[in-house]
Amino acid sequence: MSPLDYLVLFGTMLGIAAYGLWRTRGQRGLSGYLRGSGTTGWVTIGLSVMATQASAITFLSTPGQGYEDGLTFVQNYFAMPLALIIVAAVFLPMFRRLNVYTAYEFLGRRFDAKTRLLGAGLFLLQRGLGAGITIYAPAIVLSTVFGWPLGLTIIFSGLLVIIYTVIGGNEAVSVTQKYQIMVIFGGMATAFVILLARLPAQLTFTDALTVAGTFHKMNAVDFSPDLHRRYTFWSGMFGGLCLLLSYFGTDQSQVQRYISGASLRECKLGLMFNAVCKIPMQFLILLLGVLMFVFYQFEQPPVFFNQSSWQAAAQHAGGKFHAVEQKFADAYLQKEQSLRAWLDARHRHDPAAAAAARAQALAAHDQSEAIRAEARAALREADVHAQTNDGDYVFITFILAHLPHGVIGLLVAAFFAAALSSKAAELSALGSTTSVDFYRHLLNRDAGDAHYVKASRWFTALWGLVALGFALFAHLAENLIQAVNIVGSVFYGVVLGLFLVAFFVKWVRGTAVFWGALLAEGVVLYFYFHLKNTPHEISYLWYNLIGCVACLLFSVLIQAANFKKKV
Amino acid sequence: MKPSGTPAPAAAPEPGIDKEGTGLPAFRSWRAVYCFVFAAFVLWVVLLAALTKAFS
Repeated sequence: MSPLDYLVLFGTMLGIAAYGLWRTRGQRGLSGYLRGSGTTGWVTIGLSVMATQASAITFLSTPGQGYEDGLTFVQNYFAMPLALIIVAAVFLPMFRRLNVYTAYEFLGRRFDAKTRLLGAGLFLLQRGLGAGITIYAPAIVLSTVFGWPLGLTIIFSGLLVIIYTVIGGNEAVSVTQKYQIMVIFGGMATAFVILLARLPAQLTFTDALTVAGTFHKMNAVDFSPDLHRRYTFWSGMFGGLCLLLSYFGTDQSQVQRYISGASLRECKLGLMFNAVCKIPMQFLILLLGVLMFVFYQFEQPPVFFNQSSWQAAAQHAGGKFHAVEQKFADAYLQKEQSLRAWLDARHRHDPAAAAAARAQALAAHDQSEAIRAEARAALREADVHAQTNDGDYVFITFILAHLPHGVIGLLVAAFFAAALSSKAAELSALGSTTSVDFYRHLLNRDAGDAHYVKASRWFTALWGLVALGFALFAHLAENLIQAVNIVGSVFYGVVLGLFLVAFFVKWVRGTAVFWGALLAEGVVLYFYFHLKNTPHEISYLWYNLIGCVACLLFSVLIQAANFKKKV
Repeated sequence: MKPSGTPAPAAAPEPGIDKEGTGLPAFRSWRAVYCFVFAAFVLWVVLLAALTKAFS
């Protein structure tokens, strides 16, 4: 990175944080701190909801996912419009009507204290455990690529987000998110335009999509009913609906974003903005990855995108690594020539020559992929702890090699902006849930507003330090990161079940739903661990549906049994 | 702690909360907004399915 890139990076990050603090100066009262000034418009809410959901990994890894697997991941977001319509029509009016600070307060009012604590506890468990990942994941990629000290990268980004979230509260989070997401969009759009401009001159956009389709990168919709496929239309619609409904309707990091609007209208419009924009946005990010794949068919890519890791291993077993690189370069040349011959034949309208060249290109691609697998095996042999998935490094490698200075700084700023925006929302939600649902509810009910604001600040800072600590030591516990991801996918469905019973099954009471939720969680965990790493393993999205349905069913059955006993 | 199974009364509602209009010239009711969002979703799925069919 050049001095210009650093100027853009630090100027953007520090400027937005400073603006957020300046805009929220003189804030008073618990409501102001946890919900903002009550003047937030729908554009800010919409961008804030979007920024909360999209972490740095969304922008760093999703293009890499498009490069590897094509457009199929877009199906994961298919249920989003439906989920947001339900949240806007059912959840949001109820939260606003009850004037709650957290979603779990609603459970307390509808059921009882123990159900409220169960909901809040599950949130703290899944978000608290994963608190460091949103900082650690981008920091490890960026520090590896740029050679920055990992600890310093984590501390800089972590402290910055802690400072403005603790001081400015919820409104500072929303205000900064609005500008952070603009930086992200600006960076991604610039990268997209430059990528299009750098595709070979004789390659039309249709040609590019045809090349991508030939290598199975254009499969955006799969109507297969196969439960074992990770992303299909059905897993996206049914499993995804439960996941997204739970995330947007019951996860405090999102609820806090949209209940802070000036009016119900602003909140609803903010959600509808996301309902309309999210699928095209994810599609464009994946398409960026697909077009990067096409670009690298005409410009030789590295055999392994995490070059720091590759070169470090090559120092110890240079001969073997150089031989793999040479084989990969030969296979690449053959593929490039076949592709150019195929495109020429297509433009000449010579179907026989086109079919022959296409077959050659496919064979050369298979050979390249086999050499990449060989490279990964060599890397693993050289270092058993080496990370052999290089998908996260595809986009950043392209940025560094092919974008001009200034734009590199803008893109790195976009990654940090995404990390900070989702982290800030998470910290604010963790702080408010701890303060409102545990501290104020269980330990200190009668203190004044100023005391609770102070307590919220301390809890937010505490969660920030927990996140920072986790991020600093995450490299010692890679398995913990996996465990945290599992926690998220196995708990969301049950939490959604709690809220659906609250909204739609009016005759079920607190004790029934409490035990129903615990039983449902047991069922989900049993299925998860029983099927894990077996041929019957199902896509994690389905656990959301199983958890939700089981919670609804058990709650109704327990309440019915309880009612019969009384009769 | 409150006794289990006793729903607490709801807080005072925000005035006029359910009657609030959309403020949008093209969609006067929320139902119309939701229909538009759903139609946009269907359109996206159709376009993506067509893209899949055309280039796979």
